Amino acid sequence: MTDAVTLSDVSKSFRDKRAVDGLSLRVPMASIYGFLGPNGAGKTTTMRMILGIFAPDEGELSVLGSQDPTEVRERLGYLPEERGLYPKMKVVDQVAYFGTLKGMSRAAAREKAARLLDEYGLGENLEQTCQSLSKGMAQKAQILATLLHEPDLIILDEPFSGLDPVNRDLMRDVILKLREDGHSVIFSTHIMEQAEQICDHVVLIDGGRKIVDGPIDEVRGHGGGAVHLDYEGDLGSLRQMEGVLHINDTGRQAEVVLAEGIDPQQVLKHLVGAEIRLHTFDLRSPSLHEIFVRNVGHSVEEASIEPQDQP
Amino acid sequence: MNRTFLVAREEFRQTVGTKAFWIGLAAMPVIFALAIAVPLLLKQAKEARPFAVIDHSGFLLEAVEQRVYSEDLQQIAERGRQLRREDAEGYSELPNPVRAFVGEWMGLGESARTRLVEQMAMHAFGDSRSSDFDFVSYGEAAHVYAWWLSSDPGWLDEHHDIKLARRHFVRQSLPAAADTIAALNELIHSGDLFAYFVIGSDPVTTDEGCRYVSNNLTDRDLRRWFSQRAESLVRERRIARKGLDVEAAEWIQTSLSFEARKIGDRGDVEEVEDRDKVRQFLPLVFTYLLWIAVFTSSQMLITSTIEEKSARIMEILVSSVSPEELMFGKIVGVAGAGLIVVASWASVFTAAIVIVPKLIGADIDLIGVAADPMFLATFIIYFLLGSSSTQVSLLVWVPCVVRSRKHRT
Repeated sequence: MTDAVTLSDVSKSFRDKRAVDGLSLRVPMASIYGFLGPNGAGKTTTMRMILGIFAPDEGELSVLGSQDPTEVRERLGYLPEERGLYPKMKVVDQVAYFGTLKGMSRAAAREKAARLLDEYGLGENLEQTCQSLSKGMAQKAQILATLLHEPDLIILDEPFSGLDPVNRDLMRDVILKLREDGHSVIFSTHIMEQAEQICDHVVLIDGGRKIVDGPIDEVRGHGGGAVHLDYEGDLGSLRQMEGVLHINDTGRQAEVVLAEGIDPQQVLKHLVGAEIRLHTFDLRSPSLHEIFVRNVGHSVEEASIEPQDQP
Repeated sequence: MNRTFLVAREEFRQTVGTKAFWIGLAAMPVIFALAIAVPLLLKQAKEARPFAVIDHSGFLLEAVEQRVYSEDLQQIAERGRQLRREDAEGYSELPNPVRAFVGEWMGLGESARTRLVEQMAMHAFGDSRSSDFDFVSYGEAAHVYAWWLSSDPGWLDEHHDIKLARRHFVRQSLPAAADTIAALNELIHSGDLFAYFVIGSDPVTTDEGCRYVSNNLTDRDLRRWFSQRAESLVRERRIARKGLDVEAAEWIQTSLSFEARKIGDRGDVEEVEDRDKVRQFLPLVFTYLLWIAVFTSSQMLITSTIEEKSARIMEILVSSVSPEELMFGKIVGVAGAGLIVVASWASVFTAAIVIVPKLIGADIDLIGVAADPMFLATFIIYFLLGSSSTQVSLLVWVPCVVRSRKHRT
């Protein structure tokens, strides 16, 4: 099966800033692919190149089998990070309008927009202007506008950003349903838990360069072993233990990342010896959060922002 | 092309779908109409300005009044002739002495007509200079003067379009007070008097002592009207005092004018008519309208582009359509809305060119002039070219457009 997206050594610069630097990756069909990275890593620029908004300065890319993404524009759906709707346009007209731009007939777009809005609880708001919607409602309308034409590849830039827990779950369900229906989804995020829950593949980008990519289990496997704890007590002495690389401690729960070849039994023995009360002792691969922090923690603190001359 | 149409349709719908658009559309002709109508109405509604004159010279005020009477007579004669030719009923409403005067005047040559009017004015004001017209010597002139004194200038204006000087400027008698100046000042202060003039004792020699006093210094009509006549009369006296030949002096002062002529379609030299003057003026009007139309439609495009940028819609749009389709669609949509603006102005303009000549009483075929294909065609062509070129320059408002064009190979 052809990959949904292939990038080969793609680069893009804005004046002196190299936003994407020799990036290569493959997004398989009917998968959920996560772009992970700190702010300014080049995630959005990469997405815009995939959409055909920007052309790469160097390298090759293929989207849904086409070298020119604009040729397959009607098969793409895009939800930008900073969402926007025409404030004075009616909700149903808004959703239908974006559908018509993607090749749907006006009547079909309007009929389907009304149906989907109704399904997602906006049936009573069809004729309202977008400026009268609550933030959550507007986000739903925006998502529906992105998906109305049933695109083969959906690109979601920070889809969970700014969502309340209810809408976050809704968004997660939508993404999972898209994969189930055979669509390919690319989304960017820096909420690692979300990526961990739903991604089949991830790429970790920093400074425009790929740090690691691949199936999520494979990526997590790069990090050696880890132990997850539910505990009561003080983990201070554990930090001094040889072979413990890092501890993500939240007070009652902790992820203890171990160096390659370290036996978790030694950790258990140490904890018991330190009279730490354990409720759970769970062997796992390192979380994406740990991999993220370990790889790009240095640059998060000095995170650069997207170039200012970007639209 | 289809997506360009979709963008254009949506742009058009959004532009014309706002209250601001329709309020602006309605406001513009109203503002234009008010700008034209208000000064006209104010002029019509202006009340006659009462004034007084303190004449220390002993001659100038009476000479001015005599001059005013002769000017009114000249106008009565000309308007009477027109009524006699075009409006028999209106003419019959004039009293017998006036009709007799008009008939007498019409029977004379150009120079004799002037002399008749001068003689009648002299007779009315007891000027001792000779009178050699039977009409004057038979006493008819006295009847005309009596009618002139007693007639209502407002009624004459409304019914016969005869505009006596008293219609606008009414001289009042000086108040019977020990201190005339103080009394006049009080009248000015209370608003009962618009202005008063003080004529010095020897205006022929010097303008010392000549004053114009009013609290309304922006309305200069009265001052101009009175001073022009007084100045002319003083000049005549100065010429006479120096012993110069009056006719020679007048001839010397005659201006050298070049009468305007044009070359007609057949190559003949023709007189310049009002229509030709309007034709010269109309391009200015069209250019002004064009300027407003181009900048109005460009402003609409700027507003809509800024809204899409600030509402973060632009990024979604450029992921669905090419930058060229987007901007071309927006330009077409805004141009469509601009054409509605222009059409509404054209309607108002058409109505105006029918109504305005009637309002100002001019016999000008404005429709014939404005309907000239040269004006209409060039207006539409320039509008489309102007608005398109202005709006295309707005591409710089969409940096991603410029960037993608620059980098795409």
